[in-house]
Amino acid sequence: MSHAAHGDEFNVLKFQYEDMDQQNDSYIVGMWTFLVTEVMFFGMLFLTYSLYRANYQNDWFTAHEQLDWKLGGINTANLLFSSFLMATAVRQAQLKDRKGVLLRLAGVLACAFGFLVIKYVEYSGKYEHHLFPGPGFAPDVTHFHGANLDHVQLFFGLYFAMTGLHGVHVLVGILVIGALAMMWFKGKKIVTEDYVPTELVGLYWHFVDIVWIFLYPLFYLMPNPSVGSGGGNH
Amino acid sequence: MSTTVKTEVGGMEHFHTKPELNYLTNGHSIRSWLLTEDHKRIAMLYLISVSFFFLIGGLAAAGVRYELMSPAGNMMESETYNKLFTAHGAVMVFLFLLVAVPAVLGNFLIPLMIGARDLAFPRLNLLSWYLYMAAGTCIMLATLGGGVDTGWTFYTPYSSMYSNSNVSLTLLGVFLGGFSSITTGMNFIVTIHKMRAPGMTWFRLPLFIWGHYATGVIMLLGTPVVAITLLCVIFERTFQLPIYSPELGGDPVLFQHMFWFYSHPAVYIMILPAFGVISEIMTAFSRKRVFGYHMIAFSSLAIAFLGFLVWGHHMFVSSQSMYQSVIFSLLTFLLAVPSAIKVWNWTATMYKGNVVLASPMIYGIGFQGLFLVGGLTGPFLASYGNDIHLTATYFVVAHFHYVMVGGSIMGFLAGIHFWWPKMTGRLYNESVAKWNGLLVFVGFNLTFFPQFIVGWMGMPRRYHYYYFAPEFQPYHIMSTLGASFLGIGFVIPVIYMVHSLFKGERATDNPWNAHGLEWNTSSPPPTENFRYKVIVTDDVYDYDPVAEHENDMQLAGGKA
Amino acid sequence: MAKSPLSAVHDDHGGHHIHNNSMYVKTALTLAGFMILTIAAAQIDFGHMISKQYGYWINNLIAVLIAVVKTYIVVLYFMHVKWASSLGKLFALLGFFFIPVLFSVWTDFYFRQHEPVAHWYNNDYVESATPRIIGATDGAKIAPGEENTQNRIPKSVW
Repeated sequence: MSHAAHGDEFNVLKFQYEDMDQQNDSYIVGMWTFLVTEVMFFGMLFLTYSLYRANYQNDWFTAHEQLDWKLGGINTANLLFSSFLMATAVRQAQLKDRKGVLLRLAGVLACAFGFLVIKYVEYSGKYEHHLFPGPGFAPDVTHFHGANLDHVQLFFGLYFAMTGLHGVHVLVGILVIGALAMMWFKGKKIVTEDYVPTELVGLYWHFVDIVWIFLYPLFYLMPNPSVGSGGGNH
Repeated sequence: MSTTVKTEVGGMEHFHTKPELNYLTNGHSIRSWLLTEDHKRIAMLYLISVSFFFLIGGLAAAGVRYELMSPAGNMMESETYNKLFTAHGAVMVFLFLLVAVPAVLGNFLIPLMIGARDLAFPRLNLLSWYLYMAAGTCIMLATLGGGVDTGWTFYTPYSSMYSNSNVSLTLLGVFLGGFSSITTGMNFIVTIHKMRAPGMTWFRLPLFIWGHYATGVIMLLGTPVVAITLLCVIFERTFQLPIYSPELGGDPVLFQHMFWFYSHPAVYIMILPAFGVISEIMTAFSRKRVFGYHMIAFSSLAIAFLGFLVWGHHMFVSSQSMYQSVIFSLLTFLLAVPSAIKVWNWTATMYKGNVVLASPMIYGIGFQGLFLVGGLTGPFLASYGNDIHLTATYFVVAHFHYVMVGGSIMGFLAGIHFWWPKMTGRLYNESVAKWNGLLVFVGFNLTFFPQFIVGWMGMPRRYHYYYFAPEFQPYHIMSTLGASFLGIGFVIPVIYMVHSLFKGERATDNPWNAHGLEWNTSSPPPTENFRYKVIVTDDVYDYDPVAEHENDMQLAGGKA
Repeated sequence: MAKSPLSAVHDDHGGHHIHNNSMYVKTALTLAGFMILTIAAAQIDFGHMISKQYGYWINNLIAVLIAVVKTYIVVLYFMHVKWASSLGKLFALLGFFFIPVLFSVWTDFYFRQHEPVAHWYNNDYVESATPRIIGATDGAKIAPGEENTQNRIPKSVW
């Protein structure tokens, strides 16, 4: 069962595997093990978030009013749609429909860029209002209704750390999806003959979506901890 | 005693190897080494780089030890001393211990032992070496370009707010090293799951593989947590993003939680692969199937899991809730059970075995002795009340050196001695190796046993001087003397191992007459590992003392 | 013995099903529905409606539960775990299984409130903490013995 025996199968079987099933299963399990590490990676940040938020409920509620839940909502819908496009791109890859895959990957890329543009709008707004933590942190006190500004700063520290790292993942996603689209465009056998490489990129992209599924309600949609003061959100 | 069905297959075209070539002679250019995807060559790259960093860490340790010979601390400034012990800790932990056994022996042997041609992701394996080298470069640059004074634990808020040394660069190094570790772990897990040869069922896997599987799980689940934790410190230092800032209401103790959530399981990354090595050696040199195979295998997994539940015992005195500490204390005692299962089983393996005192076995028995002392002093420290007295004393230092040096490094040395003929195809000088094993054992005990005593008496760790208690000096002098022996004991193997490369006798395929797939291929193995199709038909560790005995009797009878 | 040891490795094959487009559309629509639900649920003031004490937590619980359900749907359908081999399922679950272990750090912060030492844990400890030194950067030179005060920023600025 040497490599030569499979010469006629595809040229995409790596030498260390016996057959395509073994290779594909290994790839998918390998991707999942990577995603396990990603889950733990973000898990630590969510843990920090939950501890601090439980401690400073009122201050953080006041701080979160600085975030625009509509922009966040648009981004949530945006990522959801891109996730859907990615899932169908994998389906087209299974059908070996090159044009269909390219079309959908272009859609995913457009969504990802749109996400980053909205993120940029949000970030620059925060920066202009001196909400970035550190020496430049000097927000307009009147917006905070007497909240402890130290805790507000802590909120924005975690906001920038968590959404920033998520943004980095989106950026990496753009690079990877771009590379994948390029390979499809050139018709490289490694992607066209077998759907698994597309599936792997898809898994990564869905994970990026999952992180945002948690980030959105936690940062943008906080309920008001001081009870009986009207609607939870604005 | 046949392990495999040997069917010759023609045409390993991928490798373009001639039958007489092995993985060492298959390509001599520098490119063929630095861009190799062969797990055996990557293991050799790891061996060389790991040895280099061990030398650096060892030199730093020597500086620390010689400084402590005098109670007045007159050799160097306190700041220099802080930087030296940090360099020792950071280099030894992140660049040596976490990497040594899994990346050298694990990389080399996992595909050989399960009958695969390579790891599942060879290119990722190469990437992990480059990440490791990048990590090493960062830490070396930080250390040599001014040093770091936080200790290898990087506790906040000192590391995030006060220290003016090269903390960020070091943390970047550790972060990159973490990714090297993650890629290695991914590779091991997928390889062990998917690449086993036909017939290699889970309970035919050598215990070395079980140990590395458990290690891979820890690497996968723990490393990202510490990576992001340290990244947050970098954020705090460079962007002033407050994550642990106490003055803003952040919690620096959270850093310790997250750091030890990884770093306690990390000590099992260091020791579990060494357990695997010792399991192999104990059974091979007792000429007997390992006692309680299933229990050893499952205890590895139990250690991997329980290891994630005990991190709080590092934080008994750092304002962790006392109720939490009681729980952690209990869970820590629980962890002694799977560790003890292993030691009992190795002892039971030797019992009534035909014990051969070859050099790997000398190191292996040394491992057992040292690990026993290291392990048994664990419960002292796990007891909450006792630990209040012993925290941050030399008792702790001695305890974890017994486990890490006595366990992990002895295991590494034992493994290197055991598989050196397979890795290089040469035999080293056996009698020198045996005497050296004894030297390391004696030197080690002379170094660290006095530290138990002086720690119990109250000598704090990380202190530059102890003029307030000059009666500690004899223990420190003993310790430094022992460290010198230990240093010599680590240099001698390098000499006779390198010597064997050029002048050593050629090894046969199975010089120890051991059982296992890796001994069925040639020494050194060809690039494709096996020149025949591997099908496993018999059980693991199928040593048959009766047949061997009869064979010996026949030989003796023939001679007579 | 259902299968011989010789087939140990290649006994399970990952899903190669090609699903209907409608499956993906349905999944996406469900997710969109949950997204609207999570925004709507955040507008409801359970503190007013149900319990002054626990209303806030009910809001949080609902938000997190919806996120978990959405994750489950994405993992199951978009990431094809529903059709994956049992090994794929195991590793897909592993990370999510370990998140609770990580979150057991919470017990420490919960227990600290019940510490028998007075004022061990309260929100005033901010005052006792030392002022932040800005610019503790790599390689900055502080003369030996000199106190590192050059970059200290008065508390009032913060």
